[in-house]
Amino acid sequence: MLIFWIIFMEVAILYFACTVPLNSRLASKSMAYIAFALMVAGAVMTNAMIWTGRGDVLMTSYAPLRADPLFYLGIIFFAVGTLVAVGDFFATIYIAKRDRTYNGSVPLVTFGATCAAIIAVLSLLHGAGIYVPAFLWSIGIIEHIDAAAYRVVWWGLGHTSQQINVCAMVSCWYLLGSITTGAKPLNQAVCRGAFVLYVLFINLASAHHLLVDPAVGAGWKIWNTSYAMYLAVLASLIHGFTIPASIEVAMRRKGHTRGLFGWLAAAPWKNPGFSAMFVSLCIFGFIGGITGVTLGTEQINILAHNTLRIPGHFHATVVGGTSLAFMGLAYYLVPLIFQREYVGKALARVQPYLFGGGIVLMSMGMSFAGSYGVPRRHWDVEFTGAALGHSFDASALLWLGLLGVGGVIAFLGLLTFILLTVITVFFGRSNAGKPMEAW
Amino acid sequence: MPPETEKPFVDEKHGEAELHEAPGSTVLVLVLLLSFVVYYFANWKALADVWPVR
Repeated sequence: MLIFWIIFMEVAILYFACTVPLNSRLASKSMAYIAFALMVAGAVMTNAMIWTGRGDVLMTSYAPLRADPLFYLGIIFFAVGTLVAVGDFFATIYIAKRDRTYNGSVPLVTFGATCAAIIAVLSLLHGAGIYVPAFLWSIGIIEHIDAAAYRVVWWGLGHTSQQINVCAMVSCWYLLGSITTGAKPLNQAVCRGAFVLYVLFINLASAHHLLVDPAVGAGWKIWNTSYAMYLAVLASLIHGFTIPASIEVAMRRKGHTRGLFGWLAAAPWKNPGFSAMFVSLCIFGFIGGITGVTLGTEQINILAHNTLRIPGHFHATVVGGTSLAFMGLAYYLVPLIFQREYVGKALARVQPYLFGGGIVLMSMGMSFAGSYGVPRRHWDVEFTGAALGHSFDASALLWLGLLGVGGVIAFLGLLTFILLTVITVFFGRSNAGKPMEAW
Repeated sequence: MPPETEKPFVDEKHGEAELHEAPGSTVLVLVLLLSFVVYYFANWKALADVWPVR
């Protein structure tokens, strides 16, 4: 889910961002279909290996754990397909510029998507650098892979791929803010500069995944995570202000000027595009961002490494942040592309709150349970029936319960989104030739 | 006709002084920064409790 759902959606966002805002055709539809086929084939192969027990190497697939060769080949296919799609995106930008299909600079959404695409290239090159040797090792052509080198190069793929998510998510926020409230970026230079900060400094931040790794020195860890990382964090803080501020300015221009938060109360909360965007922004900022920056500090990481605090953080960022923002975007893109009105609009209005609320509970449950030392990646943390068992403080079990409740609520929200979207695509009422109905 | 990209944000009626006023968002951001400080402090305190430096 972390890789496949997100990257499929991001490729879709790239295709949208280089065509619709620029009034341009896609450079090559046939290359786009080839990319899609490679991505589907790769996703199916990798998942099949995992489901049949031949890819039990966790997402990080650290050597010397070795999976079936088809596991690595599936990831390579998926990555190559994604690279082809990214190439199609850049070619389309070039064509649009050459044919003068737009005036001036590209819109901010397209700029953000371009930054995401640049980070994608960096990420995929790291992925090639590690998964091609891993594949050759799995079929016996290479005898040995250095485990330490594998981990360092892998996180050049691992964290940058998450920053693609952040770039795409922030671009979604700007787009949805504009569509739903008429917000305009407060300052184009500042917003675009923040995207450039992501591109320049994200690989420095990748070091926080290696904070307990004995292969790299303390000086490298501390420089990257206690100093350089904040240049990337700065970008998120900039967007975290400019997006709500642009919405506030737009709402105040419409006359919603009562008090400090009259603009927020009057915002279109019944519009799932807006509610998904704002809930996603709050979850990403307050829960994901704060926990992430803290966990990424070299000394504090000693407390948190391999506990449930880590999934508590990344479920807030990737699921509550990125996935929810993409759902909000889908509420506009699906009617646009398929020319069908969404079915079950009453349910669609509730879905972002259901999903976001569930993720908040789940993430907080994980974070608090993890602070009691509950480990991640373990199916039975109290070692039931073991001669030397272990029991956590009863409070930890309460938080684990909250994790479960939140997970169920979030799953209901997810299921609602999937059902509504699939039914809309196949059976939704056509709105061809007419404007989309207001939410 | 190619679409125009975003124009500079100009409000002729209110002038430039009120263009970028976002007091509500400023408060929200300050709440975020305060949350950061509190969470950071709590974590460093927890670290100090289990990892004494002599």
